[in-house]
Amino acid sequence: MSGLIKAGELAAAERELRRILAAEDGAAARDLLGLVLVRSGEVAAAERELLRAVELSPDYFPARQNLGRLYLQQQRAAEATRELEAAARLGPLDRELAIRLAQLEIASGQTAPGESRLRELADQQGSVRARLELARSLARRGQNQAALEELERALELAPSSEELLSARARVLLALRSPVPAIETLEALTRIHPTAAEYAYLLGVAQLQIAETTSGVEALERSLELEPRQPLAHIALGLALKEQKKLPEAKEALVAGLQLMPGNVDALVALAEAEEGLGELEAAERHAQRTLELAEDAPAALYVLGKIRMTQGRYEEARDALSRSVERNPMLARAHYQLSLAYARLGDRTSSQRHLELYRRALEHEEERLIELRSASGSASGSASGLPADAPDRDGSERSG
Amino acid sequence: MRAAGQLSAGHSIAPSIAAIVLALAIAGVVAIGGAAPANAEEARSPGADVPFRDLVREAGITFQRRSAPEKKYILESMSGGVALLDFNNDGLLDIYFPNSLTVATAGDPESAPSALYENLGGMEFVDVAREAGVAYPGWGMGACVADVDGDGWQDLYVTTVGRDRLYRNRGDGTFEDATEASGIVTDGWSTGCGFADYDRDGDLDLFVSRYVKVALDDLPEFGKGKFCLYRGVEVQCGPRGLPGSGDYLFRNDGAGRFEEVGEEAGVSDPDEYFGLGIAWIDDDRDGWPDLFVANDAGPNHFYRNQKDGTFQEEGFPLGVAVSENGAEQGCMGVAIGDYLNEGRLSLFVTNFSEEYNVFYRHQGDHFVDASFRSATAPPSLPYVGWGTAFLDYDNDGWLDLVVANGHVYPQMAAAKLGASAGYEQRKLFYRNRRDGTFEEIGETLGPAFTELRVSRGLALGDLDNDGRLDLVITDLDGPPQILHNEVAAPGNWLLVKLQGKGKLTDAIGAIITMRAGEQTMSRMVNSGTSYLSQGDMRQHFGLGAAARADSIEVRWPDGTTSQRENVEANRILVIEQE
Repeated sequence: MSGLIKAGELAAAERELRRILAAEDGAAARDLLGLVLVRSGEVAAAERELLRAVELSPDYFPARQNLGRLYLQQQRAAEATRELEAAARLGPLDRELAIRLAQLEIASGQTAPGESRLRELADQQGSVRARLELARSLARRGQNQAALEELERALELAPSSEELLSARARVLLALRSPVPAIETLEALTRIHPTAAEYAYLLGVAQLQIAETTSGVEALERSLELEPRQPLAHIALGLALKEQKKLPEAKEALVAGLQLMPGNVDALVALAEAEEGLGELEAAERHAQRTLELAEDAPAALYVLGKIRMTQGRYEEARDALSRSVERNPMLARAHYQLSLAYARLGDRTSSQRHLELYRRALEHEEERLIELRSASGSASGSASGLPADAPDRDGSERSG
Repeated sequence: MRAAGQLSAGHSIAPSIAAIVLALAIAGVVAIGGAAPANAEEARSPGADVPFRDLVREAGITFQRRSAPEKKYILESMSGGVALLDFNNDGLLDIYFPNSLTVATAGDPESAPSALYENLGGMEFVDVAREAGVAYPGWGMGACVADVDGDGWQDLYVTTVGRDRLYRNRGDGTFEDATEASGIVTDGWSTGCGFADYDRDGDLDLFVSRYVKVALDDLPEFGKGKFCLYRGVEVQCGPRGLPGSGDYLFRNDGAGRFEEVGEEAGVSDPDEYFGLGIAWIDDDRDGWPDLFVANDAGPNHFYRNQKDGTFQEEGFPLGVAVSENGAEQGCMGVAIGDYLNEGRLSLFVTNFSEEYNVFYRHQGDHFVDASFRSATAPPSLPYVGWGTAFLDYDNDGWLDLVVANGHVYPQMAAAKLGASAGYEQRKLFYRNRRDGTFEEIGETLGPAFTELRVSRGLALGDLDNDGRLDLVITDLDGPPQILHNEVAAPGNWLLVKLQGKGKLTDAIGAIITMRAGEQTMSRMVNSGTSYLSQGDMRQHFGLGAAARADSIEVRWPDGTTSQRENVEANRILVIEQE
């Protein structure tokens, strides 16, 4: 029988199995018939035969596993989970099915058994795939450090695995460790120069350490490879805005918003770019839209404050900027504008206070960036001691 | 390729005539006719197809700034300025180029002579620095000009690494080194300078900015240390990571002696920021000079004159300390100008690459960063900006803007540049659109503007008295540029020379307000500005189609005013204080 099946002589195999079943019904024959029917594309009939096999012998492991596999193919997650769990209680699942079951469990909220299953597969069978999935699950739960540890272990077994390297880079980005992420992503972009995703991630990582110029280059390369990446457009827009290339930033952000309407980061950055370009009406519209989506978003309030400053409506500017720094006390540029608003209103004391807060926020930002960059060995700083395009400083990377 | 070509036709005033004209100024107002081109055809030099041509070779200017090729030390990257003055009172602007030394040649000041080019007329110049006694000021950085002792002859102050020099003009074509006699004692690294009568006691005082604290025998090693890398490439160290220096204010006692009063006046910069360009500015037009100092890698200073011999630092509340998003920038040069013809002096500050040159628009009682709204910011992002000036290049009645650029690291030539232009850079020229915005047209202005160079100082003046403003721009290495204005079909013009009374003969600090047709233009007589440079103290006004100025008001440094009405255009007009 297995010879017929292997030879692809499915009709003959089906006839023979039906002959056997006519003589004596049995779970094994039903299971085999189900498999033949699956291969013949008769999925409904196959399901009936596999169900009958399970009915005849509830502890018949192969039938449950095959039924689970069939449900997986049909994307019937709950039924697949039920059958595969039942099968797993009877015997060891095929590794791939075990991983799929773990994925189903995790997806359905049964994280602990799913991860336990993956860890067992990884530890006992040395499954790199299982460890990768375990890491992914941990990362999804925000357990990025644990995820990174799993990935490092998997990489010991498969150091060139693209999937592992990609996952490691993502986790490192999530861990705000952009420098090792960049190393990984640079390797990936060399190996896969046409992979838009890696160029995108590299760009994002470079932006994290304020290597804006390199970041922009990587993002532009990514978008050349795949133009329909909303997040790449948005990241590019954010970077260009930091580079003060406001018309170009606006263009990228609009492109991103066309693909991903309502993205708050893009909206507020667009508002900021428009404000810088003197397009106050559009800037206000986009800032207000941001605030509808994310109440008290500090950057949107900052933009509103800037608009009111430009309009000479200093009390309103003060109010918006005050709300902005309440929400983000480390937003140096908002403190700076708030100090100006108070100065225009004749309140020197408050102006001075926010000037001090501005300086403190600036120092904080500087320390943060130096810390981020220290791992890279890149000690370049701007004319003001910061790397290029730090959020609240202008751009040069002058050594002095 | 540097532009070369024929001398422009129609250079108007021969030296002898110009001297006579100035002599006649004693009578009050003197109009000098005949200098203006009558029409476009006359205005245009034969063969000229661009508004500015570099006549450095034709002019006989052979000055070469000396700088070490590799610029291993920041000292070797920052020089230098240029000064325009009329040292022999012949009515023609002469040019002084302070020269720089290098760490290797620091012990041999004569290895890099400075140059004083006497203007012979017809755009011909001859170096008389040695005869004049101003060839060896030391490690020159910049210069500013004023008739310090009020004898009617312009004196020269040179900032240096070491002790600055005050050269007193003897009036016979030579200068005496009056540094010692003046009591001016500086040390360290001086950069910007400018004279003004800040206390209104009738004589000129002097402000000097300083940059980095350096010791030639203990210089930071090239490329070693975290502040000696640029994009991963080893470069000179600083200014970040090096100690800064405070600034000086020298008060003139009226008897030829100066006393350093920076601390008591509140302008000593106790935080020791890296001071570069400076500008005296009376932005609130109260008749008391205020002071703007461009600081590299730190907040700029704006010192508001308190009218009691002291100043209040108000850079932050006025909105000129940092950019609009609170960013400290690498500020170098500064220009002031009433670019909207609304009677308000705005500030323009040049900055490091990937920052933007910042345009602080005067708003009445404060300034706003209008860099993007004026459209001046985006074109400036790739460039390291230095010398700068507002100028009405085509005499249309609206101030345009020019910026000289060039990087500081020659190592950039071989490095990944990122968003920055290379080591050698073109210049920027912004045409005023008359609506608060500018159009950058540098690339259309021919080789004088598009040639890649490492420029620094920039001074503005009418070298041939033809009513069109010329530019002198220095380079860090090599010859300067003498950019002769040959704009076709310029508008009408007036060049106003003020003759102050008492010791304030230059009328430094005076503000001229001119109404012509629909326009009301303001200019302030200044000492210093740009990047460590000194421009023509005569004030140029483009009148467009207006054949005359309807009215001219001069507010003199002592607060008195003079009025003139119905003044015919295309003249050098001398107004003497009564």
